[in-house]
Amino acid sequence: MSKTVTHYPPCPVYETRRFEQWLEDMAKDGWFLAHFTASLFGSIKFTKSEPSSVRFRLQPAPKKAGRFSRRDRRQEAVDLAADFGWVLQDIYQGYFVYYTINPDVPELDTDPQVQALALQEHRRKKRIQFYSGLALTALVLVLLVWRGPIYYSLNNSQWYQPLLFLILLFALFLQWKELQYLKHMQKQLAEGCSNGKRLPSFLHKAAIVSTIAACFLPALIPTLNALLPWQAFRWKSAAEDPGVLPFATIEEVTGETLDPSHWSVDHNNEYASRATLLASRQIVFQQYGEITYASGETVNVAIRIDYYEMRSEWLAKQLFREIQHQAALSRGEYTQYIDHEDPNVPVDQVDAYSVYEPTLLLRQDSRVMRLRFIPDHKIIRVYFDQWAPAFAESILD
Amino acid sequence: MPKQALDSLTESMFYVLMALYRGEKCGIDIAAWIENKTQGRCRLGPATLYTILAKFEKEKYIRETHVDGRKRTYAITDLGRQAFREEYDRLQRCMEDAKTEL
Repeated sequence: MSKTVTHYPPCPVYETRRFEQWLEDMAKDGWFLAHFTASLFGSIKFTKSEPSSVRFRLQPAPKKAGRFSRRDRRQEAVDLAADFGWVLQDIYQGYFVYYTINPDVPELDTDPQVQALALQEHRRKKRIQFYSGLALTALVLVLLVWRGPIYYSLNNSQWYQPLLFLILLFALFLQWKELQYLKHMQKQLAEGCSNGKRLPSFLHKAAIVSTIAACFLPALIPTLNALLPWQAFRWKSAAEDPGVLPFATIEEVTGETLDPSHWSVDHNNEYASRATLLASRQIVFQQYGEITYASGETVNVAIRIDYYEMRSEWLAKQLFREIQHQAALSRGEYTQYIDHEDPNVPVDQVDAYSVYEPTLLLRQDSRVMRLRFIPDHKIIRVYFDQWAPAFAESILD
Repeated sequence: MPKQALDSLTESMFYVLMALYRGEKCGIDIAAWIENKTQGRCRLGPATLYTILAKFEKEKYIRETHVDGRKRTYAITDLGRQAFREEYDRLQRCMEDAKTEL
């Protein structure tokens, strides 16, 4: 039989009476608290021992000494408890975990109103943590909104930002819940009510929590993988898969042949596609080459198309706005090209500008297309007025 | 708004000041003195005692006089004596009020 087991607690640590009783019930069952692990979900290790009646008590850890003080307040509290017969087993989430096997040792707390005073200091620390977390979350939210959360959640390198924000919100909610509980507990203690009443056993509930956690964690990664856009793009040749692209390429728009022979770049005339939570289809397409007209004129063209079929028209409008906003915030010199109301470009929304490179931005229903003409050392002439209507028509149904 | 001193003392707090009134003591001796004085009626736990000593130090009712390893000795201050006497007077008035009703 295994000599150690790992369990997840059946309740948060700030519900001290329930937590203490669970540890005591485990000791009666022959499993003594060994230590708390540093895992994300706070699992606890128990070692096999003789069943015994042990008292466990949790105490908020006292405030640490100030920067200029040589006193170790925490050690003073531990020493005083040791003088009375309480042994410090471990420290868990800001709580000292004491135990004693001697039934004659007095309880750690014998005055509820004094206990309420100690809790006041503990609540003050928790409030500071909560408001710091709130400020951090607000900062993350501002950064997300500032840079465009939809655009960044669609792109591989920034997928973690919305997830980070959600995790921060959840952690904040747990902290708020703890503050409410401690406030209620302090009020009860200040009125003279101690919390020494024996509660029902939590062994059964703890087993359920451990089972759920053991099933949940392995299921978490594939679930996140299905929901979040962190799948890598896989490049494929557009020439080998004609008709797969739901928009026109430069050859289709100009009616001319693109000669790529002078270009040595990755993913030329290739596309990558994936589906995500926010977009049923997201395509990246690149094309480089030289067009020689009958008149002898030679034009170098290098385009990159980012195409999104969003799950709703609202998302598409937000994405369109975010891309415009990013362009407006860029440090490059902003030049407006096409009139937004140009009747020759038959889509719901159109924008054409240049910041670092000439960009054509189109939206029709829930589809958004951003076409960037990538400059190089040769002169590129961009025929917006000729090409914009053709690209726009290609994304119409 | 400045923090206010302890408005009233609980029984445990009152006995801690009483224990130190006539001489300095360390933590475990304070608890033993109180248990002996009250014949076991009032037993102080270490967490309660630690909170009271820390609070009294902060309010300058007591001060730490000596540290010998883990043993820390405390003595009452003039402010502590005054708080003790005020609480004593308050309890006296309570008792006198109660006597008229009995």
